[in-house]
Amino acid sequence: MKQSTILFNKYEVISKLGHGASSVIFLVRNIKLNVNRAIKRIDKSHHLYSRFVAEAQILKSLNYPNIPIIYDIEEDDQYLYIIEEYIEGISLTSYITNHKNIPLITIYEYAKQICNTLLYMHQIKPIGILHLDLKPDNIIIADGIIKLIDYGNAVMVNSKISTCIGSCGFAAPEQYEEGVLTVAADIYSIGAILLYMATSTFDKNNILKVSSIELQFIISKCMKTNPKERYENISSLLKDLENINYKTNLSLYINVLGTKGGIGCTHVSIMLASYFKRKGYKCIYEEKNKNRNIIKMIRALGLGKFKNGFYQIEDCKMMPFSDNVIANEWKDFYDIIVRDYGCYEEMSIPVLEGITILVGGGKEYEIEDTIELYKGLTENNTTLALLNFMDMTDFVRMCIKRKIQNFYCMPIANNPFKRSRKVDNSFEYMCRNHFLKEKLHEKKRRNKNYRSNGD
Amino acid sequence: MRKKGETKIIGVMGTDSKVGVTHLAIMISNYIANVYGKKVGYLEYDGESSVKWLCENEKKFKHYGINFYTSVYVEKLPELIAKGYDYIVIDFSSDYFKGRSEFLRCNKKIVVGDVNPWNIINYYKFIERTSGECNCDKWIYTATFGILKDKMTLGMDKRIPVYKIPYNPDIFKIKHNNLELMEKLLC
Repeated sequence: MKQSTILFNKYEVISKLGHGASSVIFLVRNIKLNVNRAIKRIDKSHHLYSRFVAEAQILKSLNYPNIPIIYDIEEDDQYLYIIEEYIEGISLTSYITNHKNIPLITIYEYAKQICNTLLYMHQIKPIGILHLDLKPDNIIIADGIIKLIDYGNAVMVNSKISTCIGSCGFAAPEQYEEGVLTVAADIYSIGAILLYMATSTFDKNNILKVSSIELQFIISKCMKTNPKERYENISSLLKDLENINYKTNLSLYINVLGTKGGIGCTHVSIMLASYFKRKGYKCIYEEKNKNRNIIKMIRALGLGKFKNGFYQIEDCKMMPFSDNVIANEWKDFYDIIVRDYGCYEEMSIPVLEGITILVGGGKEYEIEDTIELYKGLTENNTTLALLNFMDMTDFVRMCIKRKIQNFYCMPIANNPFKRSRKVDNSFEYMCRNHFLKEKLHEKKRRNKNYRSNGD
Repeated sequence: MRKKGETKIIGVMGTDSKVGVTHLAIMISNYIANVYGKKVGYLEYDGESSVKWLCENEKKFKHYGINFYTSVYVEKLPELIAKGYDYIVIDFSSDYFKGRSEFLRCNKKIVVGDVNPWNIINYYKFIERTSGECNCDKWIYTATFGILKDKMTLGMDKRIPVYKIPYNPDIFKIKHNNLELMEKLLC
């Protein structure tokens, strides 16, 4: 088709944009409206013709800012012409090739747009639509706006497939087999795209190279081989994405997990937060388990008050569990955040940023479990163990007998908010542990530099 | 004295339209659902729905742990209470006369207005109009827009305290400087 050819008395051909095996794309100008459009011309005799027609029908039913608009469909004896929105941008593949080390905040911004687009598609009535070919080549970035293209593989949610569909490296394993496909298939692809944005590869073995530990966790969960182990839906994935701290984080996280319910995880977390506050750090206790003890304490017992926008009980600042509905910007105010994860049994082995403290029992009938869980955690986390309800003599004897390191003894303290010399001494000793000492020292040094340069 | 287990009903009424009634009602519902972990129903009292954009024109749907009921008639209320909600938050919009009887039945009555100099007259008119209502001094008065000093009060004869609602652009992400207000509204 030559330049300046007029199509359907409406469109003037400007140039050829590209071509595939079965179609050619032209840049045209709508004469009356004086705007650019793209026309995809498909040969009716091509064996994939019906797929293009189906794709056009799907696109016509979708109405979302990140999905290209189909304005019209025309045809003549030989060709089908799909008139669509002209998108001026570059593919995500090109973007990643041209930019080394994409900042975490950029990954998040693009991921959020992709997720929201898919959320729209999956929830559309009467039946949601799966994309099934999510990959960097099919994501166009136009002035910071993501456009998701190529719906040739799109099917309804819970459709049964009998042939392989998708692109190598980004398609979920179940797309290579016969069976019913669910939203989990698109979620897998999002994980692969996140991995690609963070590391320029889609090889799952590179997940640990992702700089953010929280993003590693999200990618791992998206790319589980078993679809049932992935995120249940895009909303859950979005929630976790939103919870990542994308700024250069000065806060030191101290994550506290208990080997079982009632072992004293919350008690120890509060004591730690109070201890660091007394030592001059800006510290806050963050409830990361669903027990909602803070709200119970404040509402039922009338304890606590607000100070500068934060809950406070005695000297301890606290942030209650909120299932990620409380915005994260408060974290910037604190040097140390003690995160109470509660009972270990309620979660799969976590990968947590910062230092992890496992609170466990040291009695003969408990110690094996504590040691086993400690070993499991140390594979991916910097971990210390704190043995609760234990006498110091028994503790020393046990450590010598079992030859264990990085274990500490927690004396009994009835009121976690009140200062206790024994508790302070235990924590002092624990803080001499080289992991914690290094982090606390680094905390003071980084804060000093940041405050002198940035404030 | 409320019995343990009874549904608590919170009514949110605007002194005028577009003052942020829906915004505050949803924020309160979000706080109850996700910070308290309680079962909460958000009910849009009659009229044109403001929240239908959340879920493709559905009349009933769940979002962020909140059970939304849009454009609901008052007859539906007993049915919702029977479903065992811990809290029901009713968004009355700004039509006081239409929603008056139900608003007065609420356990907690929250008024939202605008104290900008060009709109504060509407807030005064609302207070004047409702000054004869039983226990109106126990209602909680809030303002989304306008410059409020720390302990602002309205009125000359009756000094009515007004709580400022800090700016919170995303109703499903509560900023930490809104937590204290949430506790004040719910305690």
